[in-house]
Amino acid sequence: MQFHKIKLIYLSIFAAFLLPFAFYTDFFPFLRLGMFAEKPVHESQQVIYSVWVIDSLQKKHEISTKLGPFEPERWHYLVRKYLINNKINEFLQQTSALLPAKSKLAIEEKRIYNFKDSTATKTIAIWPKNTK
Amino acid sequence: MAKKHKIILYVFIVISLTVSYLVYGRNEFLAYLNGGKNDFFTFILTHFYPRFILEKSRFPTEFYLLKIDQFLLRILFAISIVFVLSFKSTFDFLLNKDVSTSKMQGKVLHIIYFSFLFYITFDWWILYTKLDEISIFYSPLKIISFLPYPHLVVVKTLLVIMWLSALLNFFYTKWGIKLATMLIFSYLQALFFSFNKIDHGYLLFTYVGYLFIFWNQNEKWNGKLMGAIQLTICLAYTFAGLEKLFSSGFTWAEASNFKTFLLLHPNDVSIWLSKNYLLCLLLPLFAFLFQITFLLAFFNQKLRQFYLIIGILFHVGTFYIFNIGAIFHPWLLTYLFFIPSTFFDAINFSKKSHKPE
Repeated sequence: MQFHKIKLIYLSIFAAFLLPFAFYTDFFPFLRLGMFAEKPVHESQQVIYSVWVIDSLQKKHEISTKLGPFEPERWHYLVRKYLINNKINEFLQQTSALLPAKSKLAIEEKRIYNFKDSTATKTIAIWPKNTK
Repeated sequence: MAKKHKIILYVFIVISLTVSYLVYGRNEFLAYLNGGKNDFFTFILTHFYPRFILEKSRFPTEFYLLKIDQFLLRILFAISIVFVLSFKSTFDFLLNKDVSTSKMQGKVLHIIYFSFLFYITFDWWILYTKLDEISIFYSPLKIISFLPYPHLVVVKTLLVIMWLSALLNFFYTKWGIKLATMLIFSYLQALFFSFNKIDHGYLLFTYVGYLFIFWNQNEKWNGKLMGAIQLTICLAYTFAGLEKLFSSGFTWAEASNFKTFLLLHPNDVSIWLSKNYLLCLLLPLFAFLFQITFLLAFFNQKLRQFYLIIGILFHVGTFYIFNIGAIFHPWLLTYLFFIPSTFFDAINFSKKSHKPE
């Protein structure tokens, strides 16, 4: 009986690793492993998005210091999702509603140029729309 | 099934899958990528890869063709593993791993494991309060998608129950209490991951926790279970390496690739490293070799210490270089399961341990 039980445990272990690996996706709580496994060869994989709150003195603060428990990296994923969905204005509107009134927001895109050891940052969206 | 029949079946499955993919599947997928209709692909992608529907325009067709090629390779790899495991001799070889365990070891491991659960979740009270403020971004994982977004009071009650049940595990090693602790821990993780990014930091700690549920008073059984836990730890690293190998090939370890990762996670250390070509060449190569060969630590006692020391350096290095994880990473806690029972017995007056037969 115990032999079959341990055999079942071993099979479950292999299934927990093999299923997400073979199907190339996460089945929480079984996850696909390998941080940074994919080579960022395409331009869109070499970009970091960040969200900034601009105060009344026009000083910029990264949103992670103002709102929510997320470190900047998580905001990057959130912004990317809304950008892919073409809903970045919706994101900005929702985020601004969570902040004190009259807070201005800006989304920055930082592009990595590995071959020349440099980065370039530009603002890709602001909220409210008619502000600078 | 006879060995000969197993081999014939395996070869038949591998050849038929490969041929049907090359002759039919790949072209069908290519047509689908170029705007064709295919109910089968739509169903699979909607249910298993919803990101694809959103990201279709983000990458060129070749990118997705490589993905589907890789999908076949991964399926063939998984079938091959199942084939190898289907032989009694392979399984018996794994099952023969009988590790020496003791009551004191079990007791100490329970206390340390569930204390660590406190350590990694002590700030979750504040975390979930803050998450609640941005609940507008909640996008549930499939596994909890049938549940509504929970009220903060419910989350905090679950957190308290998890802490209390973790505390109970210090005194009683009942499977029901451990299962309750692990289920709540998993649910709370799922809730956090439902804000657009999954965190792998808790993965191995969670896997080991689920296996730890089966720890009981039978030392012979615990010895077998300990073997299974150690295999899990080794497989986690090896699969992390395999994922890199399958996703990017050996070129993953190229200096230029590592440099891009460094620049994507800028801090003083990563910027400095990105300017040092030799380190950009060596570090990813060592990391890759370390991960993919970690399984050797399961079979070779002498290599184990080497791998565990490199493992500590690996996680601490990742923390300083990429600002990811923690110095005391949850994966490192699982290394305690490699410490021999004799070490724990040294702090036990009775010194009763189960020796493998």
